[in-house]
Amino acid sequence: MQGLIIDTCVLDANTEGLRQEVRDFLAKELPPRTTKERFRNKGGADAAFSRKLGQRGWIGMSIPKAYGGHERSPLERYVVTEELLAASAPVSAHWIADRQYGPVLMHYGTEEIKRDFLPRIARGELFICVGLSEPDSGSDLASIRTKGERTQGGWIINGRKVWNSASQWSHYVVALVRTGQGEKRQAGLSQFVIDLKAPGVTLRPVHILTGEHRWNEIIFDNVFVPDTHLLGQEGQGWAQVTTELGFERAGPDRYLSSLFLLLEMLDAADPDNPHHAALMGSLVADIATVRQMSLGIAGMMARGESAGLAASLVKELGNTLEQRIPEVAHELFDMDIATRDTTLAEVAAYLTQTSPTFSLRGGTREILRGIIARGLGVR
Amino acid sequence: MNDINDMNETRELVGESINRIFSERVDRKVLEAAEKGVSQEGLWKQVMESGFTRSLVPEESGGGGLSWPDAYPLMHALGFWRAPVPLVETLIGTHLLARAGLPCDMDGPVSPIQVDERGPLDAELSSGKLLLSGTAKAVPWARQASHFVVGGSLGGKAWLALLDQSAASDIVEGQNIAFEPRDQVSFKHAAATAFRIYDNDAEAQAVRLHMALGRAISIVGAAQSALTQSVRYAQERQQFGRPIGKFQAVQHMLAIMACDIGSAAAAANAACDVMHKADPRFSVSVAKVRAGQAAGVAARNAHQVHGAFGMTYEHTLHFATKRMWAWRAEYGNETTWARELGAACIRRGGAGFWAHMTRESAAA
Repeated sequence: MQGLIIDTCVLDANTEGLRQEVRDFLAKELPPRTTKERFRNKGGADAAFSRKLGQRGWIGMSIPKAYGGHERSPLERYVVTEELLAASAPVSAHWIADRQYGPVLMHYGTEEIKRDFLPRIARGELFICVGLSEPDSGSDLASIRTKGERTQGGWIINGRKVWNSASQWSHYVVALVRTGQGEKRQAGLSQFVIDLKAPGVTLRPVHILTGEHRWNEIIFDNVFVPDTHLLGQEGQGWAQVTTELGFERAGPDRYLSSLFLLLEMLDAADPDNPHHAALMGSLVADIATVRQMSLGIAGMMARGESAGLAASLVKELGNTLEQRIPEVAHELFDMDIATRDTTLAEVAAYLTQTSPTFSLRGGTREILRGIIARGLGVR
Repeated sequence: MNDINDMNETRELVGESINRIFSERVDRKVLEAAEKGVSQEGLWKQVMESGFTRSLVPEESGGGGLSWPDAYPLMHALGFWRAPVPLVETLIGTHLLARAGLPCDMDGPVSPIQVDERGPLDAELSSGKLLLSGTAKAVPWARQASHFVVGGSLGGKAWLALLDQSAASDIVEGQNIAFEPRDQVSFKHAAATAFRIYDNDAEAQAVRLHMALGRAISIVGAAQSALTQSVRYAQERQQFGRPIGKFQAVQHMLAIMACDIGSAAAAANAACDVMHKADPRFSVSVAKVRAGQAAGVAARNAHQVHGAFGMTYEHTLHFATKRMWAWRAEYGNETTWARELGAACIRRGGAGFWAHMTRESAAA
């Protein structure tokens, strides 16, 4: 049962002070937006705002100064990111580069790539998206078929990646690609940093059920990638991706997707109605607890501990909460979803439709439960 | 409370020590005897001699001087080993006495009683004495207690009182569903040995609040015992030619349990981190809500994994699940605490919620 219990983490006065700095900054710098723009996934994308955050030193916080970063602790980064999300700041553009590819490139990138990419990531100028899933490979990631073949000075990539949110404004995709065969299916996989403007790369828009252009299919047709853009070691892609998903699973973005709605619900609810009070109290208990767990994992990372199993717990609990919030909104309030004449109805309708994705992205609920079961010693 | 550079050694030592005592002493024979009403005085004596019963009393008042985070393992281990002793009651009873500046040097057991406008006791001040009358039901361990710690409020002012066991006019023995002593205690104009009256009613619910957190912590311990037993059973029990733990449906039940327990543990620990603050109600409410919900899920899934064997008295699972069901109902169930928490947050409104939540969970 090792790894099940997350030590709580108490933030010191300096880190809490940073929280106030972020709030002061947001009070001044948040661009004016319509309600609709605010409750979009991670506040939507705004390249100018990303650059402002970069100037403030709040992107690439954990990257060493030699590479343009700020050498701040995971706890400081935690506080900054949770404050940005809680305020629905538009952070989609740089989010994935900041969350996972800064640390991943730092760890596995060639010196050339680190010098080239990391300062731009930290300035909030370089955006990167995830290239894992394929049309025939979702939860069974080791079955991917996008192929890389050696050529003079690099590799030729052919294949397709899907469900790439953020790809429409990203400059690069980090793609998991089969470069060889091993005894196990997990062997022979490698990661490449691929320029989305390179010849042979095509983006085909995928609209989600609201009609919104959220994803793209990325098609690689004989795309040349130089040797310097192989990430880490050839054939080590599986282990690298496992590390990468650790960054993806336990952060505040894994339980705050429906916060905007929760706040609207607190305004709409009647404190003297016991049904309202009990359900809202139960949601508050959940969000306060998942936050403590997510923060606790940032504390583990700050101490250099591995958060594998615990991170899966946070993702599962966070997703369940994010999905429960629109359901409770439906249960408590007789909203007019047809005209969506209130902000409450508008955001509840939007989250009702988009929340199924919360337990799909970053590893499906069923895969995570399997990981947890293995951690417990069954499976 | 673990900050980055200081993994808490005291907490680890406390945990090792109490787990050693309970793991050596609490076996099925002890649990069965306790369920039949045989009080486990030898075990209690050992816990007392270990010095843990007054851990939450400051050193200058003759206690162990532990913080709530450091005392957490005591209440957790009690749940995990299902130890049939009034440790949580005595820890919290003496802690409340010390906070109120009342005598707190008794060995215990100390039995806590919460009074409010609905009862169960009437309190009156008469020529400098605090007198209690009425009958309190389901008082934990009253039959063995040396003292009662009773809290309530009078005319908008909170009070806390210490009474000798002999002050009770009658004690009728009873049990909760886990066969833990829950006795009916009557007082007839019983005078408090010592009491404190506060200037306001902020402390009026102190007994209930502290006991709710104590129960939340013990629920986490008992639920971890249920999970440990369930995992072992799923590894050993064979059906269709393989261990049932190989089936995804069983794996997912265990994973769901693990999530709920991990979350209840985080909530209980987070509440301990802020117990030194003037008003820790937000975090304690969160802890009791999460623990109560986790208790239901963990007990249900543990029994489902164990099949009919888990329903037998012969199996040990029920020592954990009966306690989880009993404890989630004591000192406010999850709905009661959720209502209080929810009503307070609704009154505050959406705009201030995030700042409120982050402030409530901050240590300073």
